[in-house]
Amino acid sequence: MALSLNEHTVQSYDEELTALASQIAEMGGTVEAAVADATRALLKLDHAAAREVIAQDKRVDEMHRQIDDMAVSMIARRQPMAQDLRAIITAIHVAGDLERVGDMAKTIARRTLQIEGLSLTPKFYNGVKHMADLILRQLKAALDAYSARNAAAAVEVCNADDEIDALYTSLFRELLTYMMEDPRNITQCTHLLFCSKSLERVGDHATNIAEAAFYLETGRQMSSATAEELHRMQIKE
Amino acid sequence: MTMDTPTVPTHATAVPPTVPAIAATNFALPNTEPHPVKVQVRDVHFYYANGFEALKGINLELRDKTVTAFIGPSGCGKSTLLRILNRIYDLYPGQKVTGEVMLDGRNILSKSEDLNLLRSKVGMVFQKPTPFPMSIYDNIAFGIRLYERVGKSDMDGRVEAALRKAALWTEVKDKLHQSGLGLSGGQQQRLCIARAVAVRPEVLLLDEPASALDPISTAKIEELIEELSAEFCIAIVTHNMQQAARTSEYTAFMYLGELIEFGRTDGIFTAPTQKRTHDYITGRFG
Repeated sequence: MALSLNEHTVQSYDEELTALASQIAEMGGTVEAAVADATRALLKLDHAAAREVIAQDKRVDEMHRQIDDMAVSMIARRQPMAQDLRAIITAIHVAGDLERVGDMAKTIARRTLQIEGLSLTPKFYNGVKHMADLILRQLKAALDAYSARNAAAAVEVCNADDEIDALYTSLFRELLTYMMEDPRNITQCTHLLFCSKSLERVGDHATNIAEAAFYLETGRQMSSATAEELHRMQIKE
Repeated sequence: MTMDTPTVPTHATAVPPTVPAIAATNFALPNTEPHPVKVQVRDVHFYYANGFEALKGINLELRDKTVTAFIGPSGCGKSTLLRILNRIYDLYPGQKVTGEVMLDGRNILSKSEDLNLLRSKVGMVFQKPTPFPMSIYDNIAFGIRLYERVGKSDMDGRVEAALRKAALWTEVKDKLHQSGLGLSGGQQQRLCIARAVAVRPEVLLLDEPASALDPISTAKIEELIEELSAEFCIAIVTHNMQQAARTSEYTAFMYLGELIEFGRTDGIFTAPTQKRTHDYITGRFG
């Protein structure tokens, strides 16, 4: 951990920073649940659950607006410096990323409504399910690194993004194979392909959140050099 | 890559430690900084007449044609340090300084230093506007006459140039022979700055130059500081951290007579390396 934080002389400033952090945590939790629900709705072709995910996205958008307003007001009134400034700026970034993750969940839910039939063929969706599990873990790890201000954990999240990219590539090939095997698979597989693309983007946003966590903690942008340096330090420890 | 291949610049730590082991005492800036060193402060200690040590071994450098801000709580020694840079402290018996202050390589603390000449090179502006009880014109001309013999028309030119530099000319050009005391606080302060720059100094010391002024006058002074930094080496003491952040390229944070941190202003205000700096600038002090 970096600088251990004393309390501000002005107590209400501390309360505002705490409120901002808990808003981010709440928005993070809501968005995580949205991605999980959207994936579940897709795999079960549960249209009611998909509609629920779409409806919930309004709440995420509202949270995003609230966080932005709070951050702008704090910048105007408190003239934040150093770690406080970084906390507020990264809150704006992270809220933006979370809002996009919410949109991805909505996109998956919308696509679910377009898929006809009672169920998907399990062999088609196993890969997607695996990818969704991995993405959710990433998202959770990124949000944890952010709220705990843990730079080392943030680096780990960023390093794991390659795994998701590799998984997406192999999933793409797998679904393509099913389509070539039998043209009747094309509709379902194409839908799943688009959904896995949305999931892959959620992974990218998780990486952004981890990068914000790193900046929040260290005051430095995460470059490959800093990530490597931290990695080396971890090895030495 | 092997673990010990130094392919990336080695930082002291990737993540700043919770409590810095020792406050660094040598704050030489990297040689890549764009401006040459104008003033170098080396291991300066300052003692009041009662023996109180107000500065405890200060090392830092002021770069030419840049603004360096000094911040820190009251009594941390920032004004004292400024007072050493043009040896105003010499006016008070019993106060003592050790160490060296090199101005262009000459130690200005040496006994042989010509103080009048030094103070023409190192001008100072104080917190409260201190115009002389004389006309606006004479406020400026007074200082010039101390050091140079200047003819009437040349003097007119010098006075105008100084007032223009201090962004005051258009406001006072029709009343140059009225008393300087009749100006507003902000105008008086700019008159003092004009008076300081009229003798063509090399270094300008500003001790809380805007703390007694309204926001518009403050903005004018800050604008002025930015313009003057193209010509002079400027050191400013301020309690207003936003002002330090706005006006300076380098910032020094002092606490209890020690220099805690010194570096580029953007670094100090976004990611300070010392906990005490962090606590102070974020309002977590005491």
